[in-house]
Amino acid sequence: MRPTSIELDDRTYAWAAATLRLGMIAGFVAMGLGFVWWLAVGSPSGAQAAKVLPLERVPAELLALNPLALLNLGVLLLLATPVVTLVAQIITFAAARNWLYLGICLLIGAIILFSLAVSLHWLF
Amino acid sequence: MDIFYYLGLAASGFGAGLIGALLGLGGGVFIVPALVLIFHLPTIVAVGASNVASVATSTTGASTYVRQRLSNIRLGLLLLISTTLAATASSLVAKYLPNQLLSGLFGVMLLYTAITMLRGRRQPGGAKANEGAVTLTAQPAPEHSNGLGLEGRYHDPSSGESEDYSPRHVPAGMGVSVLAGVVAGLLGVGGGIVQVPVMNLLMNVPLKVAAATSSYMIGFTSTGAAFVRYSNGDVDPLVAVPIVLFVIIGARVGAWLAPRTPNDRLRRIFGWVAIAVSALMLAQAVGLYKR
Repeated sequence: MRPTSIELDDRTYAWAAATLRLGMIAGFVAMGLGFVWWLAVGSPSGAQAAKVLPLERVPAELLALNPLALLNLGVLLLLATPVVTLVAQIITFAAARNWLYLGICLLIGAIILFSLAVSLHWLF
Repeated sequence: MDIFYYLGLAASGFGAGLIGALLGLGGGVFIVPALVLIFHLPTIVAVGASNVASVATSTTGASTYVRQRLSNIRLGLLLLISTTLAATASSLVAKYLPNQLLSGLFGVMLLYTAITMLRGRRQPGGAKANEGAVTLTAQPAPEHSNGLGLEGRYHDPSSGESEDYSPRHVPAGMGVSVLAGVVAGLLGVGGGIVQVPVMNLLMNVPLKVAAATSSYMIGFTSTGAAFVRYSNGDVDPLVAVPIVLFVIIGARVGAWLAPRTPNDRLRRIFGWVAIAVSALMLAQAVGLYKR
């Protein structure tokens, strides 16, 4: 039996709640561990001295065991959570063939992608 | 490393979350003045930390409200078109604005918040959707009667009553929501202080649904602006992280204390405190108050 639109929105709500919760936990764990790590050892000598790491340097600094990279990763995971939630909504609205809200989600995604592109210096 | 500095940041985050939850406001309203006036950080760095804290408090709240079906996702998505666009654009502009102007704008926004508090109404911008003993669950109402499928129904299990609602004036609501995006993008606060009255008063959405929907929206609105700030180097993780971790703890304690405290008296006290802080921010903006 084909699910009703209310049931399909139920899936949207369930996926959104799950992604929000997972992102929140991942971000807080990374930030909490990173902050305790940084308080304990500080930044390793020779590592990136700047506190704010460019997005593309975070993985390399993480491999260099720089606790600031874990702090930055925690912040980025938190900021990425709404983006992941939006992707989940795009999937559920597409599955429901709800083209109106799929289009709205894609438009919001494009706006956030634009700010991400600015963050990564793709545009400016 | 000055441990007292980080303890101070953590205490400020905790205090902002606690007061914010007690008064039904977002913590960002108190984070920026604390970082600027106590820690003497540049306003743009304070706004960056507040931006991240807005995403954190929104994500925490929304994960509950969405699970309870109290947030109206369809309504939130429609209004997000305006707020994300405005927040991203204004965050790009913010880096070209002098600190004094940002402090002045923040002072004006705080003054508006204080006056709203002192008028004695529950501050709509941060009303907690599931405060007190009432737990609400919302279910979508029958589809597409206004063509957008925005209608909803929420059920109060304690009274056993349900309320149907149908958002009105959607284009006007989307237009005014631009302001919420500008507030979020320029000043790093969630924007709920604008968004909830828009939904509640203009669009006829019940207050608790409006607050829950606003909580869902704030993360999306703020995240674009926060990414731009991050790329500009304005999100200092050693400032933002202790604030974010403790603003959530403070908000949890505040939510627990809220039903047990005399709300009106507290609101009056902090209304006057907010007026004093906004006066300091405005004085700093015009050069009368030096750090």
